[in-house]
Amino acid sequence: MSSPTDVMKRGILCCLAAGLLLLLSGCGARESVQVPELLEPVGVRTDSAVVTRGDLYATKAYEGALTARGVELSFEIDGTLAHVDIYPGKWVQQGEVLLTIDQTDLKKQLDDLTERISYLDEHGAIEDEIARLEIEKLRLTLEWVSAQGSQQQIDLAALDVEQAELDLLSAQQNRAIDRSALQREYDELAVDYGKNTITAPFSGHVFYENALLEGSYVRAYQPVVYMADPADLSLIVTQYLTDREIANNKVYALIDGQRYDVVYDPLTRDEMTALILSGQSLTSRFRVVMPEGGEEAVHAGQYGVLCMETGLVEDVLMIPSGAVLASGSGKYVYVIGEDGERVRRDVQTGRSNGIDTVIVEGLEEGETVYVGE
Amino acid sequence: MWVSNRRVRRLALVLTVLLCAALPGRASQLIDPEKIVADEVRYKTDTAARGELIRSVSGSGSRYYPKTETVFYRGEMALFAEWIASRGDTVKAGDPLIRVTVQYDAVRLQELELRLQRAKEDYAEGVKTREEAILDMQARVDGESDPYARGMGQLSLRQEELRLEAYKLEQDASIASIEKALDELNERRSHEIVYAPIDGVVDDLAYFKDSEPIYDWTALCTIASEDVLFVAASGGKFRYGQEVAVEVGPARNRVTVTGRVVAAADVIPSLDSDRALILPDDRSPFDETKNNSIVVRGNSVDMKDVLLISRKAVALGGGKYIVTTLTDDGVTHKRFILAGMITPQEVWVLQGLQEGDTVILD
Repeated sequence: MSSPTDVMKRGILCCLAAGLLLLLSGCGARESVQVPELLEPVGVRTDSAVVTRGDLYATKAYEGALTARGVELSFEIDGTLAHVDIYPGKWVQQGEVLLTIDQTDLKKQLDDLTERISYLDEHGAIEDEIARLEIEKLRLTLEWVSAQGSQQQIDLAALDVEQAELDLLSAQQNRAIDRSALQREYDELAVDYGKNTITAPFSGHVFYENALLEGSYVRAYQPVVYMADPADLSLIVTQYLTDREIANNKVYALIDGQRYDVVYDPLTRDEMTALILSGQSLTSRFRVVMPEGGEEAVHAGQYGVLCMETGLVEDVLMIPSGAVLASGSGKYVYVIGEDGERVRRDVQTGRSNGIDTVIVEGLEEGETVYVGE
Repeated sequence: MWVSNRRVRRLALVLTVLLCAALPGRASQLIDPEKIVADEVRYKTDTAARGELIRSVSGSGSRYYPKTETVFYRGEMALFAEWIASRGDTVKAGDPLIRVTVQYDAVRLQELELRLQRAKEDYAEGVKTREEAILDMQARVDGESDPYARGMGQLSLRQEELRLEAYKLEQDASIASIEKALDELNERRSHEIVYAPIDGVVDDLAYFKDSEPIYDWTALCTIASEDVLFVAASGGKFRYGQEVAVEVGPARNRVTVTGRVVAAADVIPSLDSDRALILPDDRSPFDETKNNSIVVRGNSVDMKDVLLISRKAVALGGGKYIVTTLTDDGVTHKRFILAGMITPQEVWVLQGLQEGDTVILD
């Protein structure tokens, strides 16, 4: 038999349970509380897109910079440098002499040869004249002997004349040989004379890698100094693009917020070889087409980007690529009708640029398709 | 006792029931209706907008005075006597730098001088003798009555005159040769003082002991002119023509000046060097302080007016870049984009978004 205490406890528990039930149900509410306006739930609505018509392409961007044309300058002959007037970073004008090879010794040699040739000519003329006078004297003797001498004397006198003439001819020939040798020596030396300067082919900045000192020995056809022509700019793109890529796609440059047309200027074989041998990567070069009066807007050193529109197809139907689904039987989409119902429809797709996909068959412009996650 | 306790317990029971009945009525007042939020997610967003994309590079710099001339000794072997200029001296073109004692062949010099003197004397004597002989011959020819002898005499006379010309030519050449040799020898002797070729500051003095031999083409010192100042930068891969900012000075008083790169290896594709020369627009901060803490900064990337979004809005999935757009009606769309360039803070969008589009940040 339960004790009164137990009964009491059971009663209290029952009352508490009843009260709890009432609390949860809110039956005791006395005030009317306005039901808060429910916020439209985000993301519950189906992601969709409309089939549109337009041009499809993918844009690629390649980093680059406006680079001045650089040239390597070298001498045509070996030699030692004379006084060096230029310094790295100096601005020079077109035609200005940059470096000179000391040809003082060569000049001395040429002057010496000139003097020797001149002496040979002068002295030779005098010797010839003396010899002619000697021949004249012998002829006079022959005349005199012919008048009163014996035949033997006449013959001897005639032989003397003949001998003298032969001697003169021989002397002249020998002198001509000597002169020819000297002249040949002069001509060989003179070929290099005057080729001892490097002049600036254009106005620009000059610089060089290794220190150039007076007295330094330089070799022919080895670059000793470089020049940059800031008036001759190209957009050098750090990535190598093939001729085919460039020919098949539309390209343009973006420089300082402006768009510019460009013309492809392929690297020469020598340039490519020089890059590879120096361990650098191949690049691509473009000439920027400047609008009239627009040359001031750009300068060497500016950052630029080459944009390439690839895979262009014009006037096609497109939908976001996320709307295209695939199954074993092919591609399909879900068309969302006016009633909101989604209906599966098979489609035939074309090119895609990673964002949108061309619809070749299966959809009409203006239709709405479901776009999946 | 048990009866009164029962009353108390019943009273407590009734009160408990009443309390439980009243609570629900207040339940609604325990919850603020405004705090009821049904299915709303608050995103951090960004708006696609046109702006400037910049990436900077920096490198260390140092003063560079390019007009530096190395002074060489040119001449016959000499012995060091004394330095006239010292390291750090400011000199002008033509100022003496060093004195040497030229060691020349005195015997050779004397010999040449003697030869020259004799040659001239012999020349004068030879000409006089020949001229006298010609005069004598002339007199004999004039007095000759025999036509043959007269004819021969005239021819011989003419020969002697020509021989005199030849003699003069030979002697002139010989004397000129000796004089030339003497001139060369004297010219080398004159280099006992070496002078500064340009204005500037003397540096890199070569060390010589007393009377140490100095030979032709020995480098003596360098003279650096401060007329032209560049900043030589390294480590930043700066481009020719690029505009840069140069910081100079002590840490508590840094000064920034603008400048432009006037020499860099990028114009010659085969050159691989990260050194560049910069011409500062204002060189006074470099002259006022000799502190060598120089930093050069430039923009390796500088794109204006491009469509940008926050980097946090872009995710990578399947090799493609994805953003989640948020429309005005609160719908999210996952969309692919084509990115041009990505920095830690921003992404340049080439395709896939329009200006003004809202994207959700991750």
